[in-house]
Amino acid sequence: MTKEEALQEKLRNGDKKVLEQIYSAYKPSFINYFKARTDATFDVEDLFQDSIIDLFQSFFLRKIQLKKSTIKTYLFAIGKNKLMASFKKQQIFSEEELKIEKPYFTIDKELFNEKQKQLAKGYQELGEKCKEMLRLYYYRGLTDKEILAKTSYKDVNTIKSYRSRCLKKLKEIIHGERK
Amino acid sequence: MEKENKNILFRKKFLGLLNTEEEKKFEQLCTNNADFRHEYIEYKNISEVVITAENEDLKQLLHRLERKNLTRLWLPIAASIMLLIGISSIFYFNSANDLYMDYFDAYPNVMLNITRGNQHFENELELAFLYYDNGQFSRADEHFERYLKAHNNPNISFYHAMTFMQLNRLEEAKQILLTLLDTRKDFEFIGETRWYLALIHIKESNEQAAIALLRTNKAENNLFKVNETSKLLASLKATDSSK
Repeated sequence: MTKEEALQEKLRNGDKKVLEQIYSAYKPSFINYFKARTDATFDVEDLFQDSIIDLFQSFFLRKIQLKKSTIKTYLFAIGKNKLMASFKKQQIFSEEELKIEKPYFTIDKELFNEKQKQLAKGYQELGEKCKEMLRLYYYRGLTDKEILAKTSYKDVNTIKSYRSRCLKKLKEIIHGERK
Repeated sequence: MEKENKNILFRKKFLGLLNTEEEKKFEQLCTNNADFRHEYIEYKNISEVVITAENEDLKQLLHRLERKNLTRLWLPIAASIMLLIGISSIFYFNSANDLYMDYFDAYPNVMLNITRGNQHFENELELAFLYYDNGQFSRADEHFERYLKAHNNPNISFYHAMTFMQLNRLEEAKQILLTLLDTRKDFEFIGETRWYLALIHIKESNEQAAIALLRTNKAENNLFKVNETSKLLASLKATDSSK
């Protein structure tokens, strides 16, 4: 396995330590490249961080495997596409330059509907145990059996009912019904 | 449908991992079954919220990394400043070669998505960038050469020049960069071309030509290495006045 393949594997496994490596290795060239293509008011540091996050989530959630790109070129391609998305009317890059080997995973919370805004607020108010349960299920995508193997819950049914309680609590927070 | 299978299906749909046929079936289920549709919308809403919270945590992690890197940077800088105060006069006699070494860095491949491995590469350009990324510049040169014989592409010519710089074949790099500046105004790396040509001029002790190119970048508000351009200009002026 090459160093590049090993790094990709670690990203797929959600290893956040790799992020430090990627962050330090690619930041100077990323910042230079994008600063040269935007005006002084544009926050390139922010673009870099958001691109790193989308890169990480694309590997972790979608388990992508790059065959023709390196992590670095993929990161730049994400940056270019994100920049184009934020400057909708300006053609900063050609179609050729915007080509990306795998679509990247991104969520724009600015586009949240009212329901999601309420859910996001409610989620922050949940206790840590509930948050962890929802994280294992909705973020890590684990099945109840997998959650059982990683936690100290008694059995699968306990997991199911605890998750239901957490979701109920979330809905109660949203509707202001919690006493 | 079993709950477990349904959740696997929801996750695949949410992450955009369904194939065309699965996608079609999913749409049919949504159309024919309102409960299924609502369940998926709820799954999607909660997933987006939970992942956004994870993204916020990642952002915090990156902020911490940034602070850590800044601290790492500042300690030696503070020490260097103290040292520089003591030996500031030496600074003015910084040789051209030192300046070249200080400011030359490899230009990253931002043109083509390529990786090393055993896969099949389709054309000369992919091979050229594969070797470029890999630091095998002699091989990269061969493939850029072949590609450019058949294509007139100033962006790729720029990378060919970068390859020559990596091989320390500065005269060949210089000729390409000069030709680009003389003949093309419409390519992506014009600021970069002036910068790297300026570095070659510095190596050749032609400071005035380097200053002119760097000043053009500043005058045109080219943002490539904008801080380094100011610093390099200051160093060049200091070197020039000390002669």
